[in-house]
This record gives sequence, C-alpha cells and structure tokens, in this order.
Amino acid sequence: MDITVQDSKRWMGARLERKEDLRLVTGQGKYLADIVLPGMLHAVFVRSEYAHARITGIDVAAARALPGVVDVITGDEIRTRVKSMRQPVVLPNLPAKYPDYHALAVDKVKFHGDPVAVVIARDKYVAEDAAELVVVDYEELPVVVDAEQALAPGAPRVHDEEADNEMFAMTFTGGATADEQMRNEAEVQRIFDTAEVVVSNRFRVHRTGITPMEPRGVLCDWSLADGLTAWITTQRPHIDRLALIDILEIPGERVRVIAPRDQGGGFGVKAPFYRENVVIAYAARKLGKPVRWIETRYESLMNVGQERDQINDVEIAATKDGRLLALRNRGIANNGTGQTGVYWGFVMPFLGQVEMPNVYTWEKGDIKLRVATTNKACLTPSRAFGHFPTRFAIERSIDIVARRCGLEPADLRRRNMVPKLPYTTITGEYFDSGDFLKVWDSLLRQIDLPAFRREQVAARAHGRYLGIGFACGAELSGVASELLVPMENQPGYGAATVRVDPRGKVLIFGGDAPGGQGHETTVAQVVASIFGIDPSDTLVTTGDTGATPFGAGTIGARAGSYFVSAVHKACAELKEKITHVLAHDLGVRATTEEFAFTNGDVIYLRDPSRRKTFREIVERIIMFPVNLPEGEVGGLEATAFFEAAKPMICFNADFCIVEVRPETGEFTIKRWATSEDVGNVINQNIVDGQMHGAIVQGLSNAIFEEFIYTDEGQQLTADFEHYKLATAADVPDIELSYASTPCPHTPLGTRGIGEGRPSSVPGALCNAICDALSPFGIEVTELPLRPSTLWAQIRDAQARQH
Amino acid sequence: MELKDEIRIQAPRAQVYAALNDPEILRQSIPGCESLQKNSDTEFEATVTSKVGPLTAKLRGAVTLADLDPPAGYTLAGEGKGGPAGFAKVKARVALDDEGATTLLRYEVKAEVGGKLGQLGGAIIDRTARKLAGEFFQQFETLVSVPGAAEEATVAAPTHAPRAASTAAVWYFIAAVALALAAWILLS
Amino acid sequence: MQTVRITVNGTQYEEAVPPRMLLVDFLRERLALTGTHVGCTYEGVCGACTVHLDGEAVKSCMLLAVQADGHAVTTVEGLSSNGDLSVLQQSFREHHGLQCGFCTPGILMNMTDFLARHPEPSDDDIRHGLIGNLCRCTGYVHIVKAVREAAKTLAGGAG
Repeated sequence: MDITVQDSKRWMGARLERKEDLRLVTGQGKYLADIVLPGMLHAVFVRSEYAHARITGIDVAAARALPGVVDVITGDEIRTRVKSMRQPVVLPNLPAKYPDYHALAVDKVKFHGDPVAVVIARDKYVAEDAAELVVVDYEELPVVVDAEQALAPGAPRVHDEEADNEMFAMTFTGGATADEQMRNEAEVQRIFDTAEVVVSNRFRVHRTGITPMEPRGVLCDWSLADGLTAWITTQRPHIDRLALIDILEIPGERVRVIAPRDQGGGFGVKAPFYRENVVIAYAARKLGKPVRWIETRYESLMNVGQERDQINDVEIAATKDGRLLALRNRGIANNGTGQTGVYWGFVMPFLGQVEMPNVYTWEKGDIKLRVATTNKACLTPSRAFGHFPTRFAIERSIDIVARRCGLEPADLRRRNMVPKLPYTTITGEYFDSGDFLKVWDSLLRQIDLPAFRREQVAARAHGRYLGIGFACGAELSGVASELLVPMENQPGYGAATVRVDPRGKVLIFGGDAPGGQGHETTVAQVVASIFGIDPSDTLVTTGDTGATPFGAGTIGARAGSYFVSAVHKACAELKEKITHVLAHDLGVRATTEEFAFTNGDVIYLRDPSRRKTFREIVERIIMFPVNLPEGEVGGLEATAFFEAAKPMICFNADFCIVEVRPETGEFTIKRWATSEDVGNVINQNIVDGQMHGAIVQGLSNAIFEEFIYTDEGQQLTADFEHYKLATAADVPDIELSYASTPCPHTPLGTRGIGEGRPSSVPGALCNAICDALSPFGIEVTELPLRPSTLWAQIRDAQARQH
Repeated sequence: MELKDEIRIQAPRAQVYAALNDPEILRQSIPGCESLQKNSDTEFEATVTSKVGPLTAKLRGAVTLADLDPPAGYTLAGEGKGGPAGFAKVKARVALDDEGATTLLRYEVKAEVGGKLGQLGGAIIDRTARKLAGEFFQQFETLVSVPGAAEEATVAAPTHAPRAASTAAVWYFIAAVALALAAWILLS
Repeated sequence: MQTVRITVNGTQYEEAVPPRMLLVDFLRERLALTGTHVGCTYEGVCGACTVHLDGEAVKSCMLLAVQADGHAVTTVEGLSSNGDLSVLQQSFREHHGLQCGFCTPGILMNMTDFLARHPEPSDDDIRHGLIGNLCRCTGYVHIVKAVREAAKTLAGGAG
C-alpha cells in the first residue's frame, strides 16, 4: 500500500506548473473575442443616457440607411417575438417582487445604461457609427438613487406595476413564523436593556465589485437543422442553455451553449443570465447569420460588476469583560433595478445577512434586511457575494466593543469564536468542520503582539501612528443544494464524466466553466494521483453543454469541493472496474485495495511481479472486451455526481499593520499576514494565487474602487480612469500561512476556496487604521477608505481635543 | 458644473444689445452653431455641429426663459441633446451693466451634464466650458466692436438684417452659449 | 483606405486599412494575432494590448495602424522562438504568474521591455514598472515573483 500513498503524495499538493499556461503565455488562448465565424455580423447596443425616462419614440431610419447596417432591433420588436426575462428557470425560490422585463427596454428606461436597441452591421466600426445615429426621444421621469429614499412613502417607483420599491424583506432570526420572530425580537431587546456594553453603529459600504479583465461577450450561430449554438462568457453554461430554451422557445435538443475554454475572469460577474444573451440569440435566429457582441469596458462598468451598496445598522450587546451576548442588525441594500436573471440583485444581500453573525457565538440575534429597487444598474454577484459589507460591519463592531471594554481585539475574538464544529449560527448557517481556534492561534504566532504594542507606543512618542488590525471569516466551500435550490433554483451537486482512452489517457468533462482557477491542472493532479499516471496524460474539457454533464457552474468555490469530488467518485468507479477485470485476467481473487496504481502500472500488491501497465489494462477493457469476468461489460467511462449532505466551509484569518500619517490621512500597509484553513491542498501555487488575488481585490474594493451615481442617476465611473483598480504599486506583498483541517465530507479532504476570501479584508484594514488612530478616537464606519476622509476625521478630532 | 464670470465688452450697451439681437452675429460667434431660431418670446431652438478630429456630432437644443426682469437680470433654462453621447441641462443668470463706453456682462451658469458627456469628468468639462466661453466672447467682441466686422456678417447673411434692440437678444446669446458649451464638451 | 507596410514578428505585411483602424484591431482582425487583448475602452489603462513598436512597449489600442506604417511590431506570439519560451514566459509558468491569462500577454510585453532596461530590478521597481498593466486575478504577488526570478535567470545566463 505504501506505493499508492507515495504516488498520491507526488501529485497532491504539488506546485505543478499549470497545464493552461503554455497557451496563455504564448498568446494562443482562445477567449470569446478570438472566435470568428464566416459571415459573422457585429452587434452594438444603444443604451439609455437617462436613469429614468419614458421612451416616446425611437428613430432608426438614419442608422438603417448607413451602408453595412443589416438590422436595428428595438424593445418593441423583442417584446412581440420573445418571452420576457422573468422565466421560472432563473427565479430563486425566495419570496420577492420579481420585476418583469424584456431583453431590451420597453416603454421605460430604468437606469443609466439600460439597453434600448441593438444595431447589427457587417463591420464593427460601422455598427458603432450606426448606433450613434439611433435617435431615442425620452420624457424624463423622477429619479430615485438612494435606498432609504426609495423605501420612503411617495418615492418615485422604479417599476410602475409595483406599489412601492421594497423588492425583498426578510427576518433571518427567531424562527419561521412572524410570532416566533416577534418573540425573539423582544427577547433580544431584553438582553440589550440589561447589557453592560452596547455598541451601535451605522456601516455604509459603497457600490463596488470585482471587474474581470475580460468583459462579457456573446456569439450566436443559427442553423435551420441544428438550431442555436451560443458561445457566451459565462460561469454557468448549462443554466444559460435552459434560459435560452425557455425565453426564446427553442426545443432543448436544438440549443447548445459553449463557455470558451479560456475566460478572462468571472468572479461572479459572469454568473447571472443576461439580457444580451437573448438579444444576440434572437438576432442570429432572425438573420440566419452568426452575430457577435463584445462588451466594451464602458458598457461593462455601466451594467455589471456592481455589488456591495449596503447600509447595516449593527448593534452589539456584550458584558464588560468582553463576552458577546446579542447581535441586532437592520440591513438595507440598494439593488438598482433588480433586473438580472438568477440573482435579481437581492440574493447577494440575502446571503450577506445569513453570514452576518460570522464565527462568533451569540446567545441571540435579531437580523432583518430590506432591499430597495432604485434607478441604478442591478447588483450583480461579485466575489465575497453579499457579505463584503456585513463582514466589514461585524469585524469593525467587534473592535469597537473591544475598545469599549479595554480589551485586545484579538483576545476578544478568540474568546467568542465558535470553539467546536459542527455548529449552526443564529441565522441558521451551518459550519460543517474545521478548527477556528487552531487557525486563529496560528495567525497569532506570526506576530509578537506585546512587542508590537510596545513598538506602537514608542512610535507615537515620535509622532508616528502604527496600528494592527485583525479580522476573520468562514466562507462557503461550494454551495450545497440545501442552500442553492432556495437561493438560485438550481442544484448544487458537482458533476463529472471521466472517460478513459484506449491509449492510456484520461479525459475529464465537467459542466463548470472556469475563468482562470486552473481546473485543468487541479483535476489532472487528482486523476493522476488516483490512476498513478502523469498529469500530462489527462485532458479536461469544461463549458460545452454538448459534451459535459449537467452542472450548476463555476460559482461559490465549487472546484475544490464539488467538482473535484465528483471526478474522484467517477475515477473510483472506474478503478473498481479496472481492478475487477485485472484480477480476473491474473486469475486471482482480489479487491480494488489489493492493487496499486503507480507510475503508469497497475500492480497486484500480494505479488508485485504480477502487473500490467495502465494502458494495457484499459485498452484491453475498452478495445478487447472478450473473456471478461461474468456480468462485466467493456468500456471505461463513468459520470458521477457529488453532493455533501450539508453545506461545507473554509476559514481564514488576517492581520495587517499600517502606518497612518495624520497630517494627510494617507496610510501605508506595512505587513499583511494570514492563516487559512483550506483543507487538503491539491496545488499549492493555485491556492496561494487564489488568496493573493482575493485579498488584493478586497483592498482594491475598500480603498480605490467606487461606482459613483449622481442624484439624477448619472453613472460617472464608466472607464478605468474613473473606476480605479489597484495597480501593483498600490498593494503590499502578502504572507500566507496554513493551519488546515482536512474536510471530512469530501473524498480527498479538500475544501472549495477563494470565493468569499476578500470579505475579511476591509475589516482587518480599517481595524488597523482605527488602532493606529486610537489616540484620536476615530472609528471608520464607511467605505471606501479615503485619505481625505480620514484626514477630515483626524482634523475634527484634533479640534475636539484642544 | 458651475461657471461664473464677468466680461467687459468694448462697446456701449446699446451696441451690444443690437449685436445680441442679430442672430447671424450670434451664429458666427458660437463655435459650430448651424442655426439659431426663435419660436416665441420665451422659446428658442438651435443646432450646433462640431468637429473635433475625425468626429462630428450634432446637438439639438431648446431654451426657455423665466423670471424675466429686464434689463437687470434674467434666468434661463436650456437643454441640449446629443443622443447616446449625452445631454446638457443649463441654468443661467445674466446681467448687463452700462459702464460708459463699455458694457459689463456678468453671468453665472449651472450645468448638469449626463450620458457620456457627464462621464468625462469634472476637470475636462470645466476646462472645456472655460475654453468655449473664451472663444465665444473673443469672436463676439470682434464682431461687435471692430467697425465693419458686423457689417460683413450682415452682408454675408443678408436675410438676417439687424432688428430693433430687445432684451430677448440676451436669451439668444446665453442659449447659444449653453448649447455650444454642451456640444464642445461632448466632443472634447 | 491607406496602404501600410508593417513588419510583425519578423514578417512584413502590406495591407490597405481604413485610416481610423486601431493597431490592435489590425493585429487581431487582419493578422489574426489574437494574443493581444482589449480590456478597457481604448483608453490605455489596462495594458492588455501592449506590444512592442521598434522594440519599445506601447499600447496598441492607443495607436492607429497607419501610425505603425514602416515600423516593426512584436506581439506576444513573437516572444518565443521555435517553440522555446522566453525566460520571462517560462518564469510566469513556473511561478504561477497568471490565472485567467487575459492580462498576461500585455504584462509579458511590458516586462520584456522593462527587464531589458532594468536588469536588476528591486520588487519596488517591478511593481512600479507594472503600473500600466491591470490584473484582477493574482493580486500581483506571483507576477512580481515571476519577473524577479526571470531577472535572476537572465543575469545568471549573462554572467
């Protein structure tokens, strides 16, 4: 058995060079914009320049008259030819007022950037010229962009058919019935009435998200015989396929969706089902020609990647020696129009409130959310889905409680951390496994905290303001059906087909659609470990609904949890068949465990001289299926579905050290260190890369990025000059460390990682800033964290102190 | 965007009024102005086309007058639309003072810009607006104060002969500035 | 239409192009060199379209094809020769300097030029050299490492 163990050690956890990278570093990746079909037409959308206006007329004559223009399609045409976007396949099973809408705006535009028409031309440049010739007459309507104003009586309504702008409201604590919830509310109030320490703050997190470097795109081809083939930049091709079938009313066998093998990042932005998919598919069917739309960065920043945008009124009751008692929150989310399939904007803040309690033991909680529709672009998912704002609020609140109690924030966290898993939080979130305290203690070993405190005091004497900030968080490791069915009306299981090739190679097919996570490599390492072959002897195919088993997509850290586990399950099935036939051929009675798959051989362990090469035995089963054991048939292919009984998690903790210059409010991050529980690691490079990227995304969101709307709903940040992403020179190096616990619920002990990882970043950063500025008594409660805001706070504090 | 300034025009108030009442002079003063038309005593329409490099754009606009207090002060509201490129809404207060041989014109403009226009950023819009105002007044002053220049203009467009002075001329002027401003910002 | 003569990755092309055609579109659409990417709205911020013009890193979305007339352009497809990756390309593979790979060609082109000018860069130099390239996946940590290690290899090879 030692041989198997050695072999599996060889590939599991290795810093293997990625299989993807040879093509990507030589410019041979094939992204959506690189796919060209003969006779392909180009689409350019005409989008609203008003946030809220009635469309009184659209004149397309001049655009149509431009040589090279093939068609101009408006909302009136779409409305009569295809169904609306609100179809059951993309509706969550949560009680919300789902607005009905069409792929192009009809009657009204509801946000700055709303698609009004599409121009199709033979040349991209001509399509752009023609789009400028489309004249839309608007009658402006009152605009509402602020969530609280939108919820106030008498506010302008975004959707005429609704009585008000409250799209979704929910109580997350106390029980299922209103009576239970009210009783709980009263009990929480009693705790607050008698608590020694009560901390109340309003936390605002601005509108920001994770913008992939590759914008969206759609290429649709239509043939009378085969129907629709759609290449879409998407994280969930199988769901997109179902939506296209239902909305365009095309029989299912005639729709194939392909997510290109190479996608320039997704981060949630490519997970919803978008209107442009329907418009381009409709155009291709109508014109009988391939039609392609490549989103400009301008369009992208106007329409997608906008998340966060929450207010959380957080109250904490605690004892004066730092025991957390009760948590109360009133969350308000600014959803924009709420018009985006699968998520409808509100699913993110919904999950954000579920995750509000984080990893702390609360006696009781009272947590409510209201989601407002406004004349902004609809929220779309972004890594740290919904809980970037709530994690910021809770991690900041914890520090404020600690300061009030005169305790070290790190100690207060440890004291209130869930000590033993599994555990169910006050909002019903299930933490399956892991060891929070182990991770936390490992983090604390990386810093001599008493020494830092001494250094901090000494520095202040010289007018230097140093601070340390901590934060931590549990993240979903893949989303189980138990949560995904209500939340997104989709199954959570992972699916994989493993096909062994007669030449001894292994082909793996997955319904996911990665965008840089390295599935081809991690899956290759897993398969190589199981079959004792080289990772280069495998090929992973993803994204093509014509070739892969049905899967919910690349969302919520599913690769290391669900996809890889499904691959393992399929491989195990095949391994059993291979050893069954081999035992028969060798004339021995042996179980699968009595064979070792190693170095390209399958060895009978009781007599290692009896062996076959992997290629020999698989070729024999596939190509020469005679003299098989009784009841066995030839062929080596298996499809497996993996589902954990309960949701799974991963966990991380951060600290950072900053220096703030009070005369300007500028700050420098001097150190960023972490401790992670990622379960068993398949590829250390890839896991490290996920963490680096997530942390820097968190920093970029917290410090730089902000979608700005004027009171009239004008979006002012539609290019990278105005929507600033962190550059290499803006961010620090990152020290990662691991204190992992293998996940007992996956066959390899792996956990899905990376999705929620940015969410602890703003808390750690702002806690460090406030720690540095504690002589001024400054508590940061709003993002983004701007030096100018800090400087004003410092100046005010100085004025108060004098 | 807010713009506030005062300009001394080297011509007596009466002459400034006369010139302001000449649509042809205004048309020539406004960069890219194609037409300027009065629909009623308080409503005006104009079209401004501008070229910057390879780009050409046409902005259609309308101006409405309010709070008439001749000749001391006035308010006007104007809006120019350039389709997907964006729009500009302008509110302005203007006053003319007689200073002997010269006229002091004071104006205060508040502009709200939308669409792609608004996304260029405050600094660009501000800079363009100032540049535009400068160009307008330079040309206007040339036409008004240089003997013969206005006549040339009149000769060049005989259908727009000068009419009796009226306070409405000022509205033409501001409307035109507002539109040209919007057009120029759009194309910068 | 205007006829241009542009040498791309060592091959001379003579093409009639509209005067307004961007160099990046010329490379991607006329020559099918799709390794050069477009990540922003032709504003020169993201850097994914970076190529070399006469050996110097430039953003091909900020140039017209006619401006490259008579010049030599190198794209990411021209970085490796006969299937051998350049030291920098190999270093990006080895140190996981990329995830989705969309920004990678531009970074490789920029950093190839950068290393020629700064053979012994500090991490700070590298980070500042990367300002013109946005990456969303990596947090830049492994990119900086890949460039640093490539510099060491190149120095070792020269010595």
